[in-house]
Amino acid sequence: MSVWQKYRGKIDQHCLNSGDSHNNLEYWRNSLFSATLAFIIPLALLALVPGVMVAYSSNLFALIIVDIAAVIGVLCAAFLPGMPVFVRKVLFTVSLYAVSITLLYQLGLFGPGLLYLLALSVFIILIFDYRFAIFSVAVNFLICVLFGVVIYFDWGSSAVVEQYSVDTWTAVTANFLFLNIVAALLIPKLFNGLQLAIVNQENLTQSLEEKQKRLEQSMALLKAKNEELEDFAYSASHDLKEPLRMVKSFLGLLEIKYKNKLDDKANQYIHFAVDGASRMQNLIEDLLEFSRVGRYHTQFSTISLNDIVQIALKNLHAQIEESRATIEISDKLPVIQASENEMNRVFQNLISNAIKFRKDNQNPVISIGSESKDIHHTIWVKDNGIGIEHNKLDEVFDIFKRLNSQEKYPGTGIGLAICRKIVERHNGSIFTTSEPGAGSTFFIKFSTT
Amino acid sequence: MSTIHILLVEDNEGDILLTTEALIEAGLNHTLSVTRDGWEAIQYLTKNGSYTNAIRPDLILLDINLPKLNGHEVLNRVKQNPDLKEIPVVVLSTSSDERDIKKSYNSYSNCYIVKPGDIHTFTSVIESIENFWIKVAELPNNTGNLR
Repeated sequence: MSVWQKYRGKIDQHCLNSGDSHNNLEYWRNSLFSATLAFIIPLALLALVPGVMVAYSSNLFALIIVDIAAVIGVLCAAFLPGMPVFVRKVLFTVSLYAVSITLLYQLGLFGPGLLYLLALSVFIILIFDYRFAIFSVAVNFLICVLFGVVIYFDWGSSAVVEQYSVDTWTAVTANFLFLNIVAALLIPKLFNGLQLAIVNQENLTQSLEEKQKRLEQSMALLKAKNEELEDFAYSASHDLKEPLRMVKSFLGLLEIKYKNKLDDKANQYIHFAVDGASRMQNLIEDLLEFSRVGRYHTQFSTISLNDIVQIALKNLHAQIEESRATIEISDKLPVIQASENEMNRVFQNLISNAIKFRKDNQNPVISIGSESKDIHHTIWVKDNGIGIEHNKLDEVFDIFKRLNSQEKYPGTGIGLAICRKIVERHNGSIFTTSEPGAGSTFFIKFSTT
Repeated sequence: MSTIHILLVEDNEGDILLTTEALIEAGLNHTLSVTRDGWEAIQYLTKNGSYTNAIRPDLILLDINLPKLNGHEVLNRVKQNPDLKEIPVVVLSTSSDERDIKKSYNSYSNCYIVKPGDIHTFTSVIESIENFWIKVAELPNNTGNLR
């Protein structure tokens, strides 16, 4: 640590209350006072020697004494331990008042006396509470009046008495007091405004932080609830499987072993019971699959969607052959960061749907393409199938939502719900446009970043 | 053809009945022992407690969700026991969870089968288990069960 830093530290230690916040005006007042002391002491010491010499040669002995006393006062304000800051400030201002008055008395308007008084007044406004602004004006007013009286009665033999008449004095000091009053009124106004702005800013930051915190809490709560719900869906569907399997298996056994012993009606009952159990089994199996998406946070890797589509086509080989589907694939599908398994699932579901919902009299034609613009990749799967009613476009992604008859288009309605869950897990979005009777296009949008 | 012995480790009475019927349906000459929790299965296999005269099984059909010791733990103990590890263990589970499947094979299960939800499939699965492990696969001869 340099000598200067040590010296500043010592003064700071006396002038700053360690508990004060930096947003507190009081802190900055004290800090200003501390800085003033730190700079004024070396300057005063430097100026003291020539000042004393000049005063000595001009026989201004009172000035010499007051100068030295003031320097000692300032040193005490800075370094005397165990004094409250307020007392230090008073000691400092009193010392400077003494110098100002002496200068005014001995040198008159020619010396820096009035300037000192004005500076001192501004300084009081800055380092003390604003209540002292009026006080500083009052003190200066009193000093001016006092000198007016001294001049009027011709007391003493100093420059101020000998060189000026009461008229001159009054004219000059009236201007001085005017400036003094203006400063006393305007400076507190400015600082009050600043203080208000700081306080407002601080309140705003605080309330913003509180809101942010509450938001984070809500998010965490929501996340926990969501996980709880997913856990519930998972374990419910998992645990329902077992008893349902029993129901269905024994109904099946009943059907096999007692078919001949039961009448037609009983067999019909059994048939519907088996059918109901089968459908419930499919629903549960699909629900399980749905809740399994993202359950074991699979690692994302860099994957080419062209590869993914090829794998999907391979898996759907039988369906494609049987339906005589034509599939056109752009060779420039993007490369993205994603879970390979899950992306396989998405494209397999979309292509499989495009084949499944074909028109009776037309072979399916499916095209898969993409566009990368700004910060998004958009990939689409377009078909020439039966299409979707416009008012149902959003519903198709809902879980177990089916728009067509079970007989003609079997399925539980889980496929697109799984697609949406996967895509959203990848921070993407999925949507569709369609013309009933002319085909649908499913779009997936991923951020490129 | 000599009689083969099967140990079924299963706590669900329904499944026990289903498996029993399916085994009969398959028409194989077999005897069946049933233990209803994992701990009992280990007691049986190590001939402890009331099982001093237990017959060493040629095949174990093991459920995963079991009381006391679960199927994974039973599997581990069997496969770490030098006297038992040669016995083929077929895991029969309701879970189609990738992790259960992986875990079972990592513990040297010989085969993992998801219990079919349909009685016809169930019967044919039991049939094929028997057919493969008893008729097709050649297994080491063990003392205590000379075939």
